[in-house]
Amino acid sequence: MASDESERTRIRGDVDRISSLPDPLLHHITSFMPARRAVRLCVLSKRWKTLWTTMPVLNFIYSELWNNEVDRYALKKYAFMDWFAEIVSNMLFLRDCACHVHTFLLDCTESVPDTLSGMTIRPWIRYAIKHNLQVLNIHFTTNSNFHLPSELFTCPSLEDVTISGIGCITPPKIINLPSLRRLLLKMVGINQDFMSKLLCGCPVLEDLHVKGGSLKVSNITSQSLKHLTIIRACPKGPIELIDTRNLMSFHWTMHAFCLKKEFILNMPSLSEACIEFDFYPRKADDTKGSILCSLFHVTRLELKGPFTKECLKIEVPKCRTFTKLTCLYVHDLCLNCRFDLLSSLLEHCPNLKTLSLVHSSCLCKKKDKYRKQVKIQRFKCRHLETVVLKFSRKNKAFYQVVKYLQEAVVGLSVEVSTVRIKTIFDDILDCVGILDSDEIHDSD
Amino acid sequence: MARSSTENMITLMSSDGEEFMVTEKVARECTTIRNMLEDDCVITNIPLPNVTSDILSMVIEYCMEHVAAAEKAAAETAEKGSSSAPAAAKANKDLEEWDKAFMNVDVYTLCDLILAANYLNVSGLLDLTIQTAANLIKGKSPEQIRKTFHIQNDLSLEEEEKIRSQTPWAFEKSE
Repeated sequence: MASDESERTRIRGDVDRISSLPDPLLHHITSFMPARRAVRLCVLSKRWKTLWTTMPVLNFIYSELWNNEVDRYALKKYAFMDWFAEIVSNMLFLRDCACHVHTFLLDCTESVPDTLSGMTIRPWIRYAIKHNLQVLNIHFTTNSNFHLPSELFTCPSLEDVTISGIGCITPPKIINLPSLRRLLLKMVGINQDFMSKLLCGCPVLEDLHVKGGSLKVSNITSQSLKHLTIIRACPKGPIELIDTRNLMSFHWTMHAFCLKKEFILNMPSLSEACIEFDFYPRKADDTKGSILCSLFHVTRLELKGPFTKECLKIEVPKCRTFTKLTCLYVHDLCLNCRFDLLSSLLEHCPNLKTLSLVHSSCLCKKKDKYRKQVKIQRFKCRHLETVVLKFSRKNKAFYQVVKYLQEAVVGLSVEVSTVRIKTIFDDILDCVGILDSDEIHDSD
Repeated sequence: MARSSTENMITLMSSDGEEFMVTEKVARECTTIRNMLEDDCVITNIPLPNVTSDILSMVIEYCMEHVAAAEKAAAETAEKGSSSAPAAAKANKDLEEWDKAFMNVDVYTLCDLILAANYLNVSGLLDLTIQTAANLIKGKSPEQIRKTFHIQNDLSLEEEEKIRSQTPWAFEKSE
């Protein structure tokens, strides 16, 4: 067998197998590299000479042109910009125009802002759109003067679009994207006109992701959306209505604006929600809307952000029971202080199975020191099986949480992990051992 | 798993006539076979004229490992009611390590695996092998790439120069 193997190796040793792969598979290999590097393979042999001209995946990545850090900071950056434009223009001009463009990636991050004008870029995008484009990715550091070509919004083949770093999207006259399933907008300005047209013109849009940028949108209504993420976008006005009856997951950053007016979240199919509280008024009188009450039917809920505490204080007393909730993640609830809030939240979660407490020490304020007088209430979650603690290090807060859990939790297995430091991980496991054995006795 | 004994077994036959008995679950990892089974559910013997026995055994090894990993994760989830993130992350990392070790093959075998993964439509294996091939090309000069894959340069010096001069923008300015 062994000699058989070596025999085979000897025969195969110098056989060129890769060149005998069919074009689509070689194209698949080159789809993992920047377009220019794929072109460079033309000198390998006759087989590879014109292969690049029929590639369906075109990745144009500006930062790939530098050899080293010196290039990155040198004045060469401007020269590289011209070279980059030369590469894209030449490739699009010389490639076989009968071949489709499946994916077009234009990554100009790290470029000098605003050096590539719309006049240069728009024809590239138009070319791609005309060649049955399905996936479009455009990334800028910032390019506030850039406007997307209007053809982009009526491209019948587009399925997946990612755009980042273009100042503000000017709403086109019409949006009609019958195949678009996924849209990711990062650092982009969006207004209500654009949002309304978008949701009307994309009948199969399932995944909408807005990250950063600015948002002047008062309502989001869609039958097709399944995943909606709106995070860290600077709001220019309050959201009044999100009506998405097929939505399954929802990730949202709460801003001051959100609560100025009554808002309605209608998402009956929702099963996962993650809410980041970047703001919440300290007094109940200041709030008109209520977020937790709208999420009572989720199975997985994640709460994070510095104002989680304020939200729980005001909303939990008037909250409905989370009957379906099995997984609850609470980040940064400054666990060193407000166990009472956690207990009252858990009273509304009778079917909880997993509770994760994530703690980042940087967010703890001094005045939130653990109050010894707090009366410890036992968790009333009968189905609770696992408590996961995520601590960056084993600090005072950690011991307080463990102590608290020992008193509040009956018959639990507590799984503990750390985010960073491995040696501490072992220590903590010891700790859990003690906790476990104590609890088994207690439960009787 | 007690269940596996009652599971349907399928025989896959390689181009050189060797037979491999696998569970239906493993066979279904190959979309091509899954489609055959869905079209005709009584089929138990599938000839695969495009795959040799040594390559087929590797594909089966890959599918078995991934099925086992998925079953393990599912069992853990069922046991605990939900998967714990650190355990899932570790399992993923283990599988990645396994994949990496699995890709420790000569380029000839790698290309055969690409063809087989493509023919049998095993998307995970196709991604893995293609990515491995792309990594072998990354950062290499044309001469180094030729050496790695044993590509015979059938271009004369003049021809190569001509090709380069047609696409000067693709090459480093200093080259």
